[in-house]
Amino acid sequence: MSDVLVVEDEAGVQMFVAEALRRAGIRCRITASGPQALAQANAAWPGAVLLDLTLPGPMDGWQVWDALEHMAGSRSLNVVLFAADLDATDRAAAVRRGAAGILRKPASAAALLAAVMRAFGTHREALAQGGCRGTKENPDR
Amino acid sequence: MHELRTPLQSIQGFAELLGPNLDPERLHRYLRIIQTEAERLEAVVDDLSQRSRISLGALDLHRVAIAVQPFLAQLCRDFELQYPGWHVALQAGARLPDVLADLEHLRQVLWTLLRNAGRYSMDTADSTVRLIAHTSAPSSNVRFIVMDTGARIPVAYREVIFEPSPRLARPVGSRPRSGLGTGLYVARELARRMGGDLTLASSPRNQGGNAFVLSVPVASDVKPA
Repeated sequence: MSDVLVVEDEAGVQMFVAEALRRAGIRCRITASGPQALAQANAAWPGAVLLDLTLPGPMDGWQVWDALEHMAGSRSLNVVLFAADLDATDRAAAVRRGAAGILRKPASAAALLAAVMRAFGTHREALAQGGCRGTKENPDR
Repeated sequence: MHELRTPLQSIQGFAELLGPNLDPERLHRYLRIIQTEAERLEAVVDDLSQRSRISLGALDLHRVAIAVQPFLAQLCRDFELQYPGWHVALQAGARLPDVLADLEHLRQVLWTLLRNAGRYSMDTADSTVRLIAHTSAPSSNVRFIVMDTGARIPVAYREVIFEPSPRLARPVGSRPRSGLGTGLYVARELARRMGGDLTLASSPRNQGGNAFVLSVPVASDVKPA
């Protein structure tokens, strides 16, 4: 199974996510900023990205998402938004971008796993169709 | 609200992961995280409560004459007890005049300054926080100066940090703030309501860090409210 790239700067939340995923047998890589996340994605493309919006450093979550879309090429990009401040505009923007899931903090471990598994499902569907949802080559999501 | 929901995520999340089959090491770690995040949440609630009281003009102010040296000595002892490993170097002469202030508010303002200074200094070679109290005639105020040894606050942020909701970029890898980051706003408001002020000055030349200056009226110069 592919792994989850976690983009989250809060240590407590990082640990919770890592533990919840570990119990479900899902591997993850933890990053705390946009540049770290992009470097990890560049090293190995993740099956799903769990993305916070409020991040330290030069990039917020939306900018990380933009950069990942740019990097994706023919690969599937499955983003689960996982943020504390999510208003209707954010949700609409996330849906427009083809988010594989939208979670508002606090979320239960069950909700987190369900969203990640859905994202993986999206990944498998895309592979089965030989497609790559969410990329510039396939902007029809 | 990000500052409330994020610690709540850790508390709820780790509470959910607790269970009878958890090994003792993990159980201990989870409980520590829950406790730490609960304290962080408490700091946010305190900030909100204090801000609310300030905006409603509902602050109680009971100004009394306070002997500076014993007050500061006790404050430093309490502070070092609360934050083991942090050291406060106190310079306060016994001849300082009493100040007229609300005891709890004065304590809160200085506590905020010491805590900030401790955090700013903790990754530096000399993490000692300095607290100096002095008065210079004909000034009618006693000045309390809290100095850290951390990175200097950029000029562009020198007033921003006193705003009710400062939006400051946080460097990657830095610790999250506890509370709402409004401690300095509350501290300045409290200082002003006691007839004093709180400002940020630069540390003396050849010394790094920042120096916050709290001025408080001398007891003999002000009639109690």
